[in-house]
Amino acid sequence: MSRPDPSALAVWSPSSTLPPAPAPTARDVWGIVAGAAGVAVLLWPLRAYAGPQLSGKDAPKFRLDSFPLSTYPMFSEHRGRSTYVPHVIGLTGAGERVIPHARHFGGGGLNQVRKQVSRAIRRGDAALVAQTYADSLAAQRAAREGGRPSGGSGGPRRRHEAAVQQVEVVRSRFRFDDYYGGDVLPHRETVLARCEVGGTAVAVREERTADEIAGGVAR
Amino acid sequence: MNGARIRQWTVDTLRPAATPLRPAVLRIGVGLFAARHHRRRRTLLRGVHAQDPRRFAPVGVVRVLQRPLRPAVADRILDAAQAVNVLATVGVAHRVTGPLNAALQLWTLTYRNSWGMLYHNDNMLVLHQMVLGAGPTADALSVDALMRRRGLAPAVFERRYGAVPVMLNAVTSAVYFVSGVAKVRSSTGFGWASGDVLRGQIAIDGLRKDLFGSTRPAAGTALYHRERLFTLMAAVSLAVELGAPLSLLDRRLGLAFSAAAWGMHIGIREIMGISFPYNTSGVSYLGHLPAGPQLRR
Repeated sequence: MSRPDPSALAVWSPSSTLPPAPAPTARDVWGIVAGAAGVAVLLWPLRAYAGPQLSGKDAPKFRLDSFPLSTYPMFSEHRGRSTYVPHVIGLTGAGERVIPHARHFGGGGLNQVRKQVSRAIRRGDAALVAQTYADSLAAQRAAREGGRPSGGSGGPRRRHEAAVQQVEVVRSRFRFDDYYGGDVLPHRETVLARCEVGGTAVAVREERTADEIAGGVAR
Repeated sequence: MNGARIRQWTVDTLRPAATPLRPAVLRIGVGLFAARHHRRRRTLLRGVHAQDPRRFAPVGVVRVLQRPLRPAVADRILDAAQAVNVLATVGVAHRVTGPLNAALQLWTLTYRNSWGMLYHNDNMLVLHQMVLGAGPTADALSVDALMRRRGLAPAVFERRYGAVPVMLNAVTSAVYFVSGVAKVRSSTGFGWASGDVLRGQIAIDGLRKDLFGSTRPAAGTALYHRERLFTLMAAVSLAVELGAPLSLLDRRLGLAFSAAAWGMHIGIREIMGISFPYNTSGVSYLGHLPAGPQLRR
């Protein structure tokens, strides 16, 4: 196919002065086929949505999720009006609740810690979670008392955390409307493990009602 | 429209004849973003490498490992990935550093996701780096171009140069499209657009932030009781995600999609506190703003 030598044209020429695009060649067709194959690979995770099971923790969209080929299941599950959240609370000597930061369990970010804590609890390792948090809080307290910098920001948070005497691994039920209406305490919760800061964790199983939680009956 | 014209239109749309400037701008833009993004997260990523090996849950290419790498080894690979990214961005021996950078970025980011939590905010970045690493993206604005003495912006028009941004945009579209299908193939179907599911997601996400020592965004709390707003946001999100493939057909549709998707990510950041830095930076949509001229149809 003949066409003007494009290399003779300035890059910044107005498009009206440029020659028309060349006719497609076999190379172009193969290039498009290769691109289509690449897109097909990216769309391969859609097979997770072909079957009848669309929801639940063992749904294909969660089982088949990977990186970088993902089923992108985030934001797709209906959460209803309430939820259970396994997490860790700190308790001061007066029974006040303090939420210790996720970094006391690991440095991979909040959501990674959340998943790791949930998985550990499902495995029956709630005491290990409590021990990890309690040891980290004890180390932070020792660093404060020794005047050593513990790095990073978060001075006010560390002051709050310094008052924690005990940590508990809990599974708490929250109602969204209440929570976002200002009632931030759970409706009920199960204590799964407990550990004094500087002590040894023990696995427990204790239920707490809304009244007990509201009344500060935490131990 | 006869067969030949359809073929011409298809090739002109998916492989427009452009100069090497076009993919070069993408190589530099995405490479610079990746360099800055990973430098800022270096401490976090090293913390990930040093975790208790019992938390290791390999995914993707990292499944070749039975147990995690020693932290020092993982740290070295991370640093090597950043060094190679700089070389690929500058365009030094890109035929080697391009694919090598793609492989190293894929490894380091998959390794970051192999500890029990799949984040979804680096997928597009690493996929774009794979496209740019494998494509002819260093024939302009690169050390390679200087060494070949053809100038930093050779005035040659070839379809392989125009194909790169189209492929980048196709990757972007695929990511959004799968996300959209995930929503309508849920228990609520197209009812997802009512906003109820999105509202619940925002509620639980803010709750989790509070319970793990972060702070839920004030905007999410303020908007929680405005249910109609969530209907609007959900409907727009669904339209953007399921309509993403249309962005490949026309430049104006591509620009409209980019603006809408960018706005969606800004909203997610403000209301949910979930950051998609690659998307909010706008770099992920650079492919819809092609540099330099292309030969007309």
